[in-house]
Amino acid sequence: MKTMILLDNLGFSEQNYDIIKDVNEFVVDSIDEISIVVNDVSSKIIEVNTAVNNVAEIGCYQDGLLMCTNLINADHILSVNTSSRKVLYLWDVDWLHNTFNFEWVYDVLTNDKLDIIVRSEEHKRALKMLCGKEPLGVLQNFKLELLWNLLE
Amino acid sequence: MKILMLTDESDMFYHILLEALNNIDATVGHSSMDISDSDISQFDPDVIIHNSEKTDVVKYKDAISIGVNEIDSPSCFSYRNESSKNYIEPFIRITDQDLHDVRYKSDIVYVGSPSLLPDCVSEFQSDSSINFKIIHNTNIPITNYCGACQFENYKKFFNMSKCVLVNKPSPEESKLSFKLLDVIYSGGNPVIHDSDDKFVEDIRDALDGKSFRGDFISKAEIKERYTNYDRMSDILLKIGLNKLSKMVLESKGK
Repeated sequence: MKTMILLDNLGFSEQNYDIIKDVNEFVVDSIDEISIVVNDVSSKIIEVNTAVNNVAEIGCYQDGLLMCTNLINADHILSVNTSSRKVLYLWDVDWLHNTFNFEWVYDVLTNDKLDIIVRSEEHKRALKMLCGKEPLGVLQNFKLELLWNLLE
Repeated sequence: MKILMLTDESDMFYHILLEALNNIDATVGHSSMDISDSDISQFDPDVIIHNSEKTDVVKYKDAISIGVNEIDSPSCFSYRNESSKNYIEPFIRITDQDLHDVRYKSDIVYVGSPSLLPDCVSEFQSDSSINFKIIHNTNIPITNYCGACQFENYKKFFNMSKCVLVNKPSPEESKLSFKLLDVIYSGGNPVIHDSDDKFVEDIRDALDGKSFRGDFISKAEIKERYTNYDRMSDILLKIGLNKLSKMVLESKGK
């Protein structure tokens, strides 16, 4: 499935390592078009064996899967008018670690155009507590194929 | 009549209090405390209201100066220190906003610092069948924390919850706290922490539909006596500005 993943950066983090590692393994023998876009291009944790672009690319990304991993980027992908399916793979319960306005968080998470996949039952519970939304599924370790299966 | 309002530190309650002067037939000016004496002279106010806690901060002498601060002086007022001679009782801001909004729906809501939340509520926090929201302006990585909220929207949480948790007031505090007045005015169902066992029992009852609203002052009484207009009127009356005090009361609800 044609997929574009929006990350904050390619710097050192467990999230970046897991996602880039899976993407690198996947693109070795796949013809699916996988690309990564970042808000900050200044750092890189490991080599990325696929296209890496500036975040501006999300504005013209059509007919694919546009995925992000946090609330702020979810708001970004929702703000672009493209035919891509928009997915938040909620890496962490962001609102516990940063001060966000309840209304803003609620409106982003309950947006009909956003599908959500969480990483644990606890995250699922926190999501339901905040806005009552059921995620499409729980996927603890990032794996593109498993994520696509959940979306089907 | 000219009234000059000076703000030293931004304080929501102080600003709500000042709002009571917006609908009277007087010229009203707002400024920070940085304003120079010559600028004040140019405006030529009859009354200056400020919230600076420094003494003699307003040097302009041709106006009646009223402080909303913690200074022990006949012309200074406090809404924090109940033992102050010029204590201002809690008050609410009258609003006609629609408080019904499904986004704010919950079984239990607690607005305030989670560190003040009694441990006994943990049984409700761990029950996934109960929608328990904690709202506070600083993020705290605690179960059920759902973010911060604008001042006016707290009332929607109060209105849309089966049960609003309210801390027990400290011995120095009035039983009618700002928060309790807001909860009742919003149509919320307040459950006050007194003893742990009673608190848990009351929360369970509230979740089963019991209303505790009757245990407190009524909403009508709050609208009648506990608004920012009433408190501003009280202040002006105490200073001796009887006519202005009456004007403020008459402008209530306009």
